[in-house]
Amino acid sequence: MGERILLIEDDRELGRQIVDHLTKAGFQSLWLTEGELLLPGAYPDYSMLILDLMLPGVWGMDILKHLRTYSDVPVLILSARNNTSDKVRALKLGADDYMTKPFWPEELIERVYARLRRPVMQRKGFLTIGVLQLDMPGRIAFVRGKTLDLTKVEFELLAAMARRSGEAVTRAWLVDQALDPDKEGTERTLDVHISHLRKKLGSDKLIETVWGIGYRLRVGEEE
Amino acid sequence: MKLRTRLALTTILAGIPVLVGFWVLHQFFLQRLGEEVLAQFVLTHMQSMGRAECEARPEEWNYRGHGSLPADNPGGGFTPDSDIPKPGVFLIDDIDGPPHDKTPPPDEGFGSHREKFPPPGHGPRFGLFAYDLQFRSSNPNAPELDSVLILKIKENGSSAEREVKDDFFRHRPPNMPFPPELDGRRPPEDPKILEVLVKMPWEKGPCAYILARRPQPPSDGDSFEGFPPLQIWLFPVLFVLAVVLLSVAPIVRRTRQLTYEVREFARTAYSQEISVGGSDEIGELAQAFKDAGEEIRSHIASQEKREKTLRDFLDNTTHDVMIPLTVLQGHLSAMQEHLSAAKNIDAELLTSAMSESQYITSLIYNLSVAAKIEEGAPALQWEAVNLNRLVERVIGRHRPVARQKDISIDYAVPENPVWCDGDMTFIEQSVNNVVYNAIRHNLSGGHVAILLDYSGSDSFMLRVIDDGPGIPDDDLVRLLEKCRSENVARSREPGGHGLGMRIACQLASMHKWSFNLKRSEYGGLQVDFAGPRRDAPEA
Repeated sequence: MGERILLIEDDRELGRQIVDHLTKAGFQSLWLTEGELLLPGAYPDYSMLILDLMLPGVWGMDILKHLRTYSDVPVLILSARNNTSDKVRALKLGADDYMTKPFWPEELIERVYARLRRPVMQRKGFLTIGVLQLDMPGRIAFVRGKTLDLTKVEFELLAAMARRSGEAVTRAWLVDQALDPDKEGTERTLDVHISHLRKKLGSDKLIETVWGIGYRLRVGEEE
Repeated sequence: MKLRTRLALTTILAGIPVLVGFWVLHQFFLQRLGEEVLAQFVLTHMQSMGRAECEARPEEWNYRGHGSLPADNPGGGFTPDSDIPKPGVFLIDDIDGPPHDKTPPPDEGFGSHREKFPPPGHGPRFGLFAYDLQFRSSNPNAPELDSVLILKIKENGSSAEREVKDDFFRHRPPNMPFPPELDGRRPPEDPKILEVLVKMPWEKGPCAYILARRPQPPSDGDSFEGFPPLQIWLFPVLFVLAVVLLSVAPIVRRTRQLTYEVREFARTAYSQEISVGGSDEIGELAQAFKDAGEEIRSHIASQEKREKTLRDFLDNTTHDVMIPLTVLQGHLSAMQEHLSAAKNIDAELLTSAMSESQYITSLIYNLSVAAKIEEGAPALQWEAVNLNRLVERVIGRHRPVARQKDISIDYAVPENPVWCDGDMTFIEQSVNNVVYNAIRHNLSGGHVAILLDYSGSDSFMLRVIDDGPGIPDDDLVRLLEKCRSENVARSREPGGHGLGMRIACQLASMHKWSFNLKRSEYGGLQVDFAGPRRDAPEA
C-alpha cells in the first residue's frame, strides 16, 4: 500500500474527487470533513496533510499551528483565498506548500509527489539514475552495468546532468559545468559533445533535448 | 441653557461669595477699627484731664466730660468738645445714668429711669469706668470684669476687648422711648455692647485700667445688618453683568454662525465651506470641523471609488465570464450527447472544455487584479519570493491543459534558487498570464519554455518563449506601449482580450522590474522579466 495522506476538506464533492485521485495515484487517504485540532496519535500515521483553510469547526490555520507544535509532517494548504498575506501566514506557520482553488487534480498529485519525494540513499560517490550508474570518484559511467568509454568532457557533461536528473538544464549551464571556456566553450561545441554522448549511451535515449532550454537526463526505470 | 444666561448666572453666582467675603472683611475691619478708636479715645482723654478727675473721685467717676465716645464710624471722627451728636456718636451724659453732681433732666426721658433701669449688675450701656491694678473698681455702677478679659489684657499688655449682651431693649419698660442713638432706627436683633479695657501708662492708683463701653450700632431696618445699602452695590453689580453680557455677544454670534454652518456642512455632504475663522477657540473648533470634513470627504471618495471598482469588477466579471462559461456549457452538453449516444467522448472537445475552464480561472484572477489596480496601486506585500518554486508552480498549473493540447511545456531553473523581493501572488499572476497566453495561442505540437537564470551579479532574468504564431511586429509595439502607458483596467477590451499581458506588464512595473516583448528566435513570442535578486532568507 502507498503512503497514507490525511485530507481535511469540508466540501464533499471536492473531497471525494481528491480522495479518488490520491487513490488512483497509489496513496491511502483519510478524509475529515470538519476542522479539528489533530492530537498526537489521534489518527494512524500519515505522511502528509492536505488542509483546506475555511473549515467548519477549527480553522485551518489553527490546525496547522497546533500540528507544528509537535510534528514536522509535510502540509499542503488548499485554499480559495488567493492573497499574499494568507500564503505568507500559512508558510510562516509551517506549511510546506500552498495551492489556490481551482486546480487540476494532476497538479495536486504532482505537488504531493514533490513533497514526498525522498532522496535516494546511495553509496557515497555512487550515483544511480535508472539504468545509468556513475562512479564519481572513479569517473566511470555504466549503463546496465556496462562501462562506457567516455572522454573527460563527456563524463563531466553526463555527471552534471546526472546531478540534476529529471530537470531540464540550459546549454549555457552545461557549458559552464563541463567545457573549458577558453578553448571550446560554445553551445555549438556542446551539441557535438552531446551527440557523441548519446551514441555512446545507446538506444535508451537517456538524454532528451528540451525545446527552448537545452537537455535533460531522463529518469529511466531501474532494472 | 443658553450661553448668555449661563454666563449671567455664573457671574451672579461667582459674585455672591465675593460680596459676602467683602462684607465679612468689612465687618471685621470695622470692628477692629472701632475697638482701636475707642482705646485711643480713652488714652487721649485720660492723659489730658481724665486721670485727675478719675483719681479725685474714683467711686463716682465714669467720664463726665462733654466729649463723646467714638462709635464704629471712624470717618465720623471723635469730637470731644462738640455737644452735637453725630450719627453713631452719643453723648455720655445723654444716655448714661446721671453723674453724681449732675441734675437729672426734667423730662420723662430715658435718664429718668436710670434708678430702676438698666437692671442691677448690668451697668450703664455707655461710659468709662476706672479699675485699679487688681481690676477692682471703686464705682459701684462699674461692670464686673471677668477672668477672660483680665487674662486677655495681661497677655496683650495695652488693651483687651469683649462683647456682652445688651439687655437694655429686653428689659425696657413698654412706655419707655427708644434711646436717641437709634435715631428712629430699629434696635439690633441681638444687641451687644462692646467693651474695651485699656491699660493706662501709669502703674498705680484707682484708675490704672479704664473700661470703655459702647452699644452696638442700630440696624437700618431695611437691609442686611452691616451690609452696604442696595443703592450702593446694585449699580456696580448690574454694570458688571451688563459688561459681561455685552462682551459675550460676539462669541454668541460666532457660535451661532458656526452651528448653522456645521449643520449646512453636514446637510450638503461636507461640501460647503465653513467661513468662521479666527485664532481663538471658536476659530480652532471651526478649523477642526473643516479638517474633519476633509477627512470625511476623503473617506467618502475612497468608499465611492471602491464601490465603483466593485461594481465594475462585478459587471466585467459577469460579462467576460459568461462567454467562456457558455462555451464550456456547450462542450459539456456535447459530451452529454456523446455519452447518451453511447459514443466515445471526443478528446478535442474535452481539451477545449478544460481550456475554457482554465480561461475562466485566469480571467477571474485578472479581473480581480485589474479591479485592485483601478482602485489605486494595490498594496504589494513584500516578501522574499523563491522564483524557482514559483516557476515550478506555474508549470504545474498549466501542464494539464498543455498536455491536453499536445503542447510541450518545460522549464529550467538554476541549481541554487533565485530569490527576489515582491508580492508572491502578483508575481505568480504575472508569470501565469504570460505562460497562459503562450499555451492558449499556441498550436498542437507547439512548445512553451520558461527559463529562470541569474543575470549579472545581482539580477535575475525570467524568460517565457513559445513557438506559436506570435504577434505581428506592429501589434507587438502597440501592445507594449499600451502596457506601459495605459491603465490596465480602463484599457481593457471586450472579453478581456489582452488583459492578461497588460496586467503582467503592470505588475512587473509595480515591482520595478523590466518587462520586454519580442519575437522569439523560434517564431513565437519571447517575454522577458528582469529584476533585482536578493539573498535567500534565513530559515
